[in-house]
Amino acid sequence: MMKWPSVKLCLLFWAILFAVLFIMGEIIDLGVRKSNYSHYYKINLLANKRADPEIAVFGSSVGEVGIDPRVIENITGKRTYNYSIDGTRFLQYRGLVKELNESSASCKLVIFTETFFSLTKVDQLTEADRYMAHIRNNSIYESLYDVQPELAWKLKYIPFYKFVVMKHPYYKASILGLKSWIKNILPDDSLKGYTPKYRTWETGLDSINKSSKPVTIILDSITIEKYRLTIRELKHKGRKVLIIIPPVHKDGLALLPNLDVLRKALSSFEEEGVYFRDYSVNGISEDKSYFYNNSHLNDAGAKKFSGLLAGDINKLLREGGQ
Amino acid sequence: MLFNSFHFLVFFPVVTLIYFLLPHRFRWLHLLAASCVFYMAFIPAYILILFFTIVIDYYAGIMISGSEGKRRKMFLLLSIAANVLVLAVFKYYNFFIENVNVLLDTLELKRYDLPYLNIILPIGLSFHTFQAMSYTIEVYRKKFPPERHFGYYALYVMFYPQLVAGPIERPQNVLPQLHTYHQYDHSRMLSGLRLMLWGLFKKVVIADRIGMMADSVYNNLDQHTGFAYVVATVCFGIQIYCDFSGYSDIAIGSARTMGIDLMVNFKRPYFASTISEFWRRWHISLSTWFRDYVYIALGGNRVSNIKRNFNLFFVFLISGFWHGASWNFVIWGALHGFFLITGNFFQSRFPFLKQRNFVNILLTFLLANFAWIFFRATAFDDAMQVVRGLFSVHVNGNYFSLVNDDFKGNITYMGLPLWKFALTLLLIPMLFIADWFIEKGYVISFDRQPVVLRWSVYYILIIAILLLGVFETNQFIYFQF
Repeated sequence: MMKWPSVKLCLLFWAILFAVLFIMGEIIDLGVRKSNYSHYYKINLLANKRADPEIAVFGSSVGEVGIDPRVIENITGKRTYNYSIDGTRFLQYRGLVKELNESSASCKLVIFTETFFSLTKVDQLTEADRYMAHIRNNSIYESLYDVQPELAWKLKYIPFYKFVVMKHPYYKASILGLKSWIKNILPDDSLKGYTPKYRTWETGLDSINKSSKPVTIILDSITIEKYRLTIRELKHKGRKVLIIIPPVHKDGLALLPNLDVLRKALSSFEEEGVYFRDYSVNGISEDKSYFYNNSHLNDAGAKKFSGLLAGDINKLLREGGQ
Repeated sequence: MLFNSFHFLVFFPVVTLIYFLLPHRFRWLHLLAASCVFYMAFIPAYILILFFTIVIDYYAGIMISGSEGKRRKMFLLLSIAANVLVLAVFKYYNFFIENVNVLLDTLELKRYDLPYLNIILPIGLSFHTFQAMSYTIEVYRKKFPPERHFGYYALYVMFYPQLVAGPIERPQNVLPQLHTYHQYDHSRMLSGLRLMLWGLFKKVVIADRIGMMADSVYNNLDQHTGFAYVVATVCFGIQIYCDFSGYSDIAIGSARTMGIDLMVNFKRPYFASTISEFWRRWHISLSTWFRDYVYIALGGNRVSNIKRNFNLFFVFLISGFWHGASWNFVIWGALHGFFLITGNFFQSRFPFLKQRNFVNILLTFLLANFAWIFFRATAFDDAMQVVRGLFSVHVNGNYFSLVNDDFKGNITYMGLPLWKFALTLLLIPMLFIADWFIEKGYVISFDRQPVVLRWSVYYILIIAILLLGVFETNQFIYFQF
């Protein structure tokens, strides 16, 4: 049988390993939580309760590249921030909305930027590591759990499991975060969460569109219910909610024959006292020079659309007497 | 269940702990149940196939030992037929139908498409059927008495460490060990865990990372040229070695922790100086299986030179076919057969060709890697595209250029960003240095090194696995066989 000195050595081995991994993990996470890098910064702002704009924009890449908060600020005079994160659907970023709702004193309007997949079923987290440093935050954990319960649970409760999920950008975010924390470097937040794309219509996309099969949108009732719940929470705090479908190029629209399903579902939320604006079919939709692919606006398109949106926001805020 | 999964991280210590806590008489049952859980983690219903062959071979073994003459042979053939039938249906049926359809079409005799079977290949099928066959053959050859205890026999086939990707064991080695009581042995436990750690490192850090480079080229052949093909092929050679030997190390290590020694499956094959030596170092349990049960049955070395060469070539052909139902695998086997026969021919005339030196090792490495092209390519045309393109020059006029643009216009190196590319390339010399240490026997003296040094190595390996490992549902390549 195993002798006592061997048992002690064994315990010591695991204790040292545990300590090393624990310290390493905490330092990496600390760096990420302090990071001003890429999407980690947006998540940090919200999870660390440092987000307090008057107008907050949420959504996926369509929102991230399609709405320039500076344009909205100039027109409305309201502090605006774009918290959209590429590839992320509502269920996943729901926790971030909740964080904003709980902590923000100034936020008057929350804009949800929706696209064809927004309310469809999702069972896989996008870039789960972006959220990992805040896994102990209940709102964030719950939203991750709704999408991929097993992974979220493992990340939260299994020691060091996060190491196998971490990817290169996580380490980069951590190193940059530690550096800026130690040197007290302030973030360059001049774009206010907007990611401009200075790109033209992708070459070869026309032929891909011609050969692509149409996408059928199938809505997920659970996601719709969570959406409704989030809207109610925002309304409960006296915030206005605007749901939009941004411009989609007409070639892209041709591939979404049942987009009306999404339009109907989103407009049904008007019963909750929210505003819904559909910009999918719009003057912008006709012009390829505003897009770099079917559903993503380039910088010129984003500027034009943001101006249009800001005009509507002004009307909407006036309606409510803000 | 994958060895590189979270489930196994829980499964292994629990199974091992219970194994040592249980009285000997219950251990077989515990291991058998654990093996069932392990196998059923893939496709549960397929355990019935395994059960089918186990029952047939168990009774065949008993019947063979109780019979003489033709009857004895009949039971052996029955057992082999049952195993081959399972392989034929699940592994080779669709390949056969595909080729018949093509043939009928070519001869303009096709009236309609013969139907395909819509089935997924049971994991590790070729491994456990071969292990089962080795049992009945050994009983037939009177080298091993039949196992009377059904549970122990089932455990021999199903023992979880080697169930899905070998080593393909022989009954003489495993069954007596399963019957023996193994007391907890601390040094064996450490040695087993160490081997598992090294195996896991080879799999998730080296194989899966290097595999990205091979995949990025082999999945987009049109976007790459000559030197990228060479590097990707070498990367695949390293990937498959680390993937499979890594699996074997984890299998051998996990069995060793319970006191059971499985056969060595790899002995640094890329240090071989001839192709025949390569096969004495690569997938040893399979090559010795073919040697013992096919090559020797065909006459072995006691036949004429021509017959012997024919037999060698035949054995390599079927060895290729064993790997997969595709002509590419057959060509891969044929290439090795050809290299071996021509190698033997030239080495008998020019002895310096079999001397152990760097040039011969490099030549063997290049030949083995050339054959890997057919193993890795998904279709024959792809393999030929690589072969034809090996010396094609990059569009920028520099043969050695590995630079490409990705779809976003970013510069990539063989489809990977610079940091991934550099890290991957660093792993190759690291592996060879580690293998050189093992080859020279320095690992044996590792146990005598100060605890600080040993633990540091373990910690570095564990942290490297966690930080650099690829954990995105990567199966072991050999599971498909």
